[in-house]
Amino acid sequence: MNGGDRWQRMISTIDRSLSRVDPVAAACEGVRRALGTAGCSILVRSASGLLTMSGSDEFSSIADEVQVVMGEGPVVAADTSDLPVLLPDVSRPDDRWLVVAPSLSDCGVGGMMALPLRSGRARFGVLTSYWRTPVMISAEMYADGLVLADIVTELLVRHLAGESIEFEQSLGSLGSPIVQQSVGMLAERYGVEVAEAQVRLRAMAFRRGSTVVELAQRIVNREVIEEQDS
Amino acid sequence: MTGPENQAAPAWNALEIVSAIHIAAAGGDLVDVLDRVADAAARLAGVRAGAIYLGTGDRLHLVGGSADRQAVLDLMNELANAGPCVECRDSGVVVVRWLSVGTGGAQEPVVGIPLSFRGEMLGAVGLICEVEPADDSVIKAQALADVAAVLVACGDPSPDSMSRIRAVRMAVDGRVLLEQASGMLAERLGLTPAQAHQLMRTAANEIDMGLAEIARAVVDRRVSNELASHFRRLSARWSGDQAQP
Repeated sequence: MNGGDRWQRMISTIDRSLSRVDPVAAACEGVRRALGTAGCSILVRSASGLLTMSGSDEFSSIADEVQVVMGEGPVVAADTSDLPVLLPDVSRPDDRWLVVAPSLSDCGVGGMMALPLRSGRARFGVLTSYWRTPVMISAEMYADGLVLADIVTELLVRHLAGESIEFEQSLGSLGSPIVQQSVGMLAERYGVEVAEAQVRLRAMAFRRGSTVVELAQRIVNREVIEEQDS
Repeated sequence: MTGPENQAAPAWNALEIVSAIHIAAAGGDLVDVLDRVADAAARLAGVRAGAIYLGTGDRLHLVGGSADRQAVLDLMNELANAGPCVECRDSGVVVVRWLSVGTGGAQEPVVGIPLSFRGEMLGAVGLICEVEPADDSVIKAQALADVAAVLVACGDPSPDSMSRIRAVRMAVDGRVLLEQASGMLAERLGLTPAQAHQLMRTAANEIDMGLAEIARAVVDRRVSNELASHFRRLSARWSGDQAQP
């Protein structure tokens, strides 16, 4: 797999016209197509726990809810551990999911993958993929899923910041060290979590008509001291 | 590249490689170890700055940088998505390109050295040089790239591609966490992020905590009294050093 190909290939699965209307739903559908899954969903963290923000279908939303309500399953484990959780065959005995596995089977889930949506310590939620039958999750699928999780995380941050999604603008700024340093500085300055600081940074850049990297550089240089309206 | 300091001190060069292997054998925080290996690679090759990038069939991500932090960030900004590091990761061979890196404007050689484990490409080592690198410098840096590859790949003992992808991912996440912590600590103590990074690393050396553990404590606002007192003392010492004529 050539360097940036996977990133570009995954972005191309997301419907750009739909993304302007509902970027999260567009990302969800893109993930479903890219991984060839029966369903896909994006759960976000809220004060009351994980909530399904977008599901490609009812089947995925119900499977999410089963795990959140029971407090067990790959979705919950991915959120609490910050690590990807793979369950290729729900029917296979697994000590980790003794309670929830039968319920997932009853929902029609054969296999699933849950990937945390995060950047560093900023945790936003979980991206899930569901298959109707047991699945052999290959290294390629796994790597595709991780890249999609990065893309969805950035789309979520932009969406939460109230920014319109323009795919012509390059995605990928969350990986920049300057951006993450400035996120840390904003989190400390405003006494908020790094996830919220990430969204604030994006919103500030959007309002100022600046790129995130340019604004981050100015914050690190302490040229931007106060954000009056944040 | 083949400066007098390198030619006159072969024992030092050997010591760098032995030291990197020792770091690898001793284990510890991957993000800290990769920083040290990048630093060792830059010094060993006698170049301006060095960085380690990881990415399996994905964009490259900076996971380790030499001590010259600003140069590393410049390098990262310009080389993570295109250039010799990406080229060498995709081709599997060393790539040298003359580029204008950072804000200086002048072109200088940038070397991309593949970072692979048992034929699987994990990323690249990038070196910003001041002159065309000599073959032996590249060979030395390649040796440290191999050390870095073993470090990353052996983070998870399962010898399969999935575990390698996971290991790369964990290294990248660890780096992002470290940058966030650097920013928070910088704001808290009135330092630059580079100084905050160095502060955490020095504290990690002085007390029984890993760098990643310290970074997590900073971001989660769970810094112990002992660690906070280390931060204050180190920060005050640096302020005092800077105040001296």
